[in-house]
Amino acid sequence: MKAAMDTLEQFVEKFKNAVDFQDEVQLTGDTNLKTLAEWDSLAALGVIIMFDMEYDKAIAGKDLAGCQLVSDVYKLIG
Amino acid sequence: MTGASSGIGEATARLCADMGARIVACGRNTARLEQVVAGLTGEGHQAVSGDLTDPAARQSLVDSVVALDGCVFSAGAAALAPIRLVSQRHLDTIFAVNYDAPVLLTQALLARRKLAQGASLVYVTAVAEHVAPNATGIYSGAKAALTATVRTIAVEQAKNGVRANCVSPGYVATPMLDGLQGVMSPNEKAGLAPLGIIEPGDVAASIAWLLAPASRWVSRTSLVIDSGLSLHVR
Repeated sequence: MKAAMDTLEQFVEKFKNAVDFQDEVQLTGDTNLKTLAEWDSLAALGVIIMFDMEYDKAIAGKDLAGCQLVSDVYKLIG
Repeated sequence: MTGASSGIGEATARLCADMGARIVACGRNTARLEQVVAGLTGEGHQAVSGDLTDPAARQSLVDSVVALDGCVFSAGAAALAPIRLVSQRHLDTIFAVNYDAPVLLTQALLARRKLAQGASLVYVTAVAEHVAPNATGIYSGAKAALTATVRTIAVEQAKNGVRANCVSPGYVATPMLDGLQGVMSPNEKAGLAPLGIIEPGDVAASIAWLLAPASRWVSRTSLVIDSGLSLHVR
């Protein structure tokens, strides 16, 4: 069962889990990815795999590179 | 020659044909495979298209060949996932292509006596099994498993004069590497190698040597061709 109808809040939780933050972060849709110390290529890969597993959607690194805010990543669900 | 429709397999097929070999080329992309075979030097080459993870495809390939003097197992697939996010599907897919297919194809060739006395088997693995980059746990595991199995194939078949070796390439400019463009920066990775980017033809030359009598005392080895990547101290 794919969670295609997730709210932004539900998505943020899954995003946190995918990135596997070591330090607690306050994350909202308005958070700019550049402000996240742990946002690196492995974190991005985690999000790519999360999209595949949770939303059955293939996204690529270049899609994430075009995102500024967490809400931009949420919009990739389509 | 498996995986002959692109990358290292294609380059090896071309080089071996240039050196006078008759090639049985295998690959999943029929159009591309036929194009490669049509462009090979010399006569009598064969294109056998099919997905070697399918037992029926392996069987029909084995049925269609005469006793082979050499065999190159170059078909492979790479996908990245940190262990924390690995799924059964990821594991099954990666192992099916990179481990099960070459091992079971070897089994079928041996069982049907389709390897000539003194044949040389060359398996394309990956330097990932030695250098263990991020998110390659399953891919590296499949390649390491293949390397271990090849050593056993070599010792069991020595009585028939059959040799079995691996080549273990670093980052090579192939469609497989391009396919990872979405999740990593291949050029950045290749930049870690002191000598720079490796071309498929460079790996092909090493495979040709392992197929040839020039390497007749070489078996059970793994030749690392990684542009100096695996001992990375800067």
